[in-house]
Amino acid sequence: MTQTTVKPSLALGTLHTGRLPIPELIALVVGLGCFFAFPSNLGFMTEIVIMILLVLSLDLLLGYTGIASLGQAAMFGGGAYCAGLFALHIHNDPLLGLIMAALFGGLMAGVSGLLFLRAHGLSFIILTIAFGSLTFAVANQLNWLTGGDDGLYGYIMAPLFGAFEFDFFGRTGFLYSLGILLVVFYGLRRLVNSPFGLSAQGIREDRQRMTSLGFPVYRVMLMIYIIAGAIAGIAGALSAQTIQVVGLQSLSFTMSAEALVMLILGGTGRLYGAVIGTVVFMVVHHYAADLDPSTWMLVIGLMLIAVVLFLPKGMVQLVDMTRNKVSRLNGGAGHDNSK
Amino acid sequence: MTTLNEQPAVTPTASRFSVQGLSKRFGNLVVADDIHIDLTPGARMALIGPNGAGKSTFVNLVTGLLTPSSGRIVLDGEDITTMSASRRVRNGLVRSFQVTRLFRELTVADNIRLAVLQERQQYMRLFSGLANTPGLDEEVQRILNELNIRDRASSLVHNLAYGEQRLVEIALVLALKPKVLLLDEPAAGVPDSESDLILEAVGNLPKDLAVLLIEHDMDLVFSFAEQIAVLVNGAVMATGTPQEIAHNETVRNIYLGKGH
Repeated sequence: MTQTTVKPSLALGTLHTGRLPIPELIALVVGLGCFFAFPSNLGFMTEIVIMILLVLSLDLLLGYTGIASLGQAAMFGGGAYCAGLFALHIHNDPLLGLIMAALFGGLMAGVSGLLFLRAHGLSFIILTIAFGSLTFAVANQLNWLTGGDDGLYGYIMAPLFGAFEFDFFGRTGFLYSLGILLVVFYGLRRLVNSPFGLSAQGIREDRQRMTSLGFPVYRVMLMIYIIAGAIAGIAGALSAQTIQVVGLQSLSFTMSAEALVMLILGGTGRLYGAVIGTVVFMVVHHYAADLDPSTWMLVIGLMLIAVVLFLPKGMVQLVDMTRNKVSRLNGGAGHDNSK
Repeated sequence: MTTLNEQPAVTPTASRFSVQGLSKRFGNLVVADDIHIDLTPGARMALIGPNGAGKSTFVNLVTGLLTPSSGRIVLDGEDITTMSASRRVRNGLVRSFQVTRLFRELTVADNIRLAVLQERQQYMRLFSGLANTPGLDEEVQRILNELNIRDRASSLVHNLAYGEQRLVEIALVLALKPKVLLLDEPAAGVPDSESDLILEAVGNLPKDLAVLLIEHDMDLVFSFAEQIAVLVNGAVMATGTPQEIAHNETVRNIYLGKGH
């Protein structure tokens, strides 16, 4: 009791770990487990990994900074087209393309954010929707560049690190995407636990109070928006590189909206909430659509209603409740310590 | 206008903060009318006035949420009239909030941490952990101790009693190491049982800090202020020591008369 240590309350969103990147190791084990358990579903699982990245970028915006966007697909599709075009016309190395897409996604976010972040709340959401529609229309119009409705194709990715071919079964594609996800997740985890991450959460809690504390709120939000744009760009690039086609739907409003639904489902403001939400949504979508293509929306809808009503913090709440229960059971023995 | 020049030889007589002829009009409506206020380092001034006198407008003008129609605001010799709200804070002009505005879903320590990060300009550290931020925890601890809220450090703010929340509000303000503090009704809404906490915290504010207290509670005003300015209809009607104000007939009629 004599020395009170003051732990950051950020723990809310992240697992507290020492030097070892425990969450990433767990994700690696789970990812590799799935890799061996479902060898015929690698394409689908790659899609999930990519979607997780997009939803994570949205979580950084909405969950950690309080910026609600319905246009994150603009940066996703932008990154996808950037990576596709880069492979087609300049160089087909995947990592090089990934970096270009990250830069391009960040650039798109930077330019649009510079303008849009002056607006708040609903106005901002509308602006992001408008930006999404705009990029969709532009990609559609620039037929000669993007392939328009037919999509962008005809590029073949060089082997990863010059050694691993992108095979027909999608083994390389999955492991590559999983690897990138782990790196991004680790970076994000560092970010949200940093002084900068705390500042973002301050903005989420009360923007005006942050101004009164002297924070350049607009500048911090712009940086977050750019980082989220870069991550969305990376997700888009992975999609372009693993499927080797870029379609207009990567820029669609549906993409943005579904990403938001996945985030709400899993729980905002928690990195693993984005992961859980995406996996649940995608798997339910996949199997419900398999059973009956017309009713999967119904299933997702009911699930969303149930979560919003009974688990307002998202599915991570279930994890929390279990964890509390476990620690209460353990607490029976350990309680004396805290007294 | 009264100016303070009591100890010309010892303390710097230069004004720390001055508001010169500040006016704000919305069409024909004058909400701030040629206001002059001058604070020396260490000043303890109170701004009082009946409801609707323009106190909130004054605070909004000074902190940069409203743009004045005319007049100047000078902080440490620098004209800050057109400066952005957040830069005013970085330059040392800080306000507290009448209705507590804290980060309710964060802990007390994290609330203070935010203020300290800004004051030390460490918030742009993107990937280093909070625990590895040099000097941060020491400073947060120091402020927690100073306000005697150390044992609440890990509590979420929304779980605190209201009086304690007001202390956190003062802690945030102090963490910014201001030169000039606008203390907006620090005791508003605090039950009597907790008001001693606030009086003590306000009494312990750094000696060289220039404080402008905006307050309804006359006990607090008269125990705290060395100077009082009375705001009526957007204009400063009288300025003086607490004794002078207490004996000013007009002030008594307009303001004090109602309650006393």
